[in-house]
Amino acid sequence: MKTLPSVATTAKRTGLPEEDIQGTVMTTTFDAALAWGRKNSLWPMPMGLACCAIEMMAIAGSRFDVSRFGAEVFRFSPRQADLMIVSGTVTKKMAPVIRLIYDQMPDPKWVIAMGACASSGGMFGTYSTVQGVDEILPVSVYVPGCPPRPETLIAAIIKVQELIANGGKNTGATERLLRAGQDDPEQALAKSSF
Amino acid sequence: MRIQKRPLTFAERLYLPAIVRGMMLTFKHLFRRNVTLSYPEHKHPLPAGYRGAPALVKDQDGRTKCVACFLCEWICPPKAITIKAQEIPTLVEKSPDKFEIDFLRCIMCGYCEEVCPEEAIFMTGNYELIGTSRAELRYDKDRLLALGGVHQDRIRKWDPATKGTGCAAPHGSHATASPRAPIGVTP
Repeated sequence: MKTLPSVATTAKRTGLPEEDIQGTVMTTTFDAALAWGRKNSLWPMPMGLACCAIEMMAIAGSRFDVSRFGAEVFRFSPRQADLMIVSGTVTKKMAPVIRLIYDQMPDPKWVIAMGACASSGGMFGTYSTVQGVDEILPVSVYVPGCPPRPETLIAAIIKVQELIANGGKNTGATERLLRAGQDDPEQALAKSSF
Repeated sequence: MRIQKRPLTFAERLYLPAIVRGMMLTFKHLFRRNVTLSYPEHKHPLPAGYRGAPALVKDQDGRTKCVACFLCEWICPPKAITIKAQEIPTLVEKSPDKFEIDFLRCIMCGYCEEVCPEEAIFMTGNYELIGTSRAELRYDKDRLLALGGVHQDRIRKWDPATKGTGCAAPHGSHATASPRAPIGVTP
């Protein structure tokens, strides 16, 4: 979370006595409030490509219940989603489709590479498999496992929420910076706000 | 074919009994056991043979048990393990200079644990390794040893008394742990 202005600062700015502000007014920055809203209403785009998709479906069920984190609204339209969960083997035939869907998602957006196949190609070191979805689009969080447990995916979603709260690794912005020729996107991102 | 519609009975036309029956089912669920697992706070108890992330272990004297025989690297289906051996001036003669597991490749099949002749690599119950970059999930020897912890070993291959034959010292002296003792992460 970004540093919030103190009570003393707010009192100085507004000209109100400090004891009036203490405990009655909550101050924040616009970015922090926006990030708080975003992190608690992630709408995932389920990119279910193989067996990991079954575990991804399990997190929406009553046992793991991802709605506790506000991410239960699986959108099958990329234009309404801001978190892409790539779960499964990315074949070379499927890669352009995934890229197209990613491009259709509005900024800011985040990507989870779920499972060994989506993260690195896994055991499919073959001619037909993309060796990790990060070869075609930027990835925020990698999740190992074959397939990962639903808990691990929830941990990844929590990690994405942390990234949002800290204002970092929004993959759309990361990619724009990479295209613009920034050498270190992490550093450039830390300076810029989304 | 024309389907003849059965005329509704009075109770069916009344509509309310069906509502009541449906709501009864709904309210029954209010008194049932809660099935939701509040994950980050409460964790699912894992079965004894659960295969999480593999990790290297040390013996009770703090020595790396691995002797760099390359069997795990050889058997690993996704080729996630990379080993570089080195010579060490002890009875054991060989140890890994570099031992890397790429957890993004690893499929947690447990072949490495099964094939290891030295009981030096174990599947832990850790399923929560996530990272924001590929490099973060490429574990080197030190991180793998930290993940694995200490395994109480019966085989005293380092002991000069057994001359490196691997034959155990008197039985019972160190035979405290089962072959699948919990290591590092308790399941």
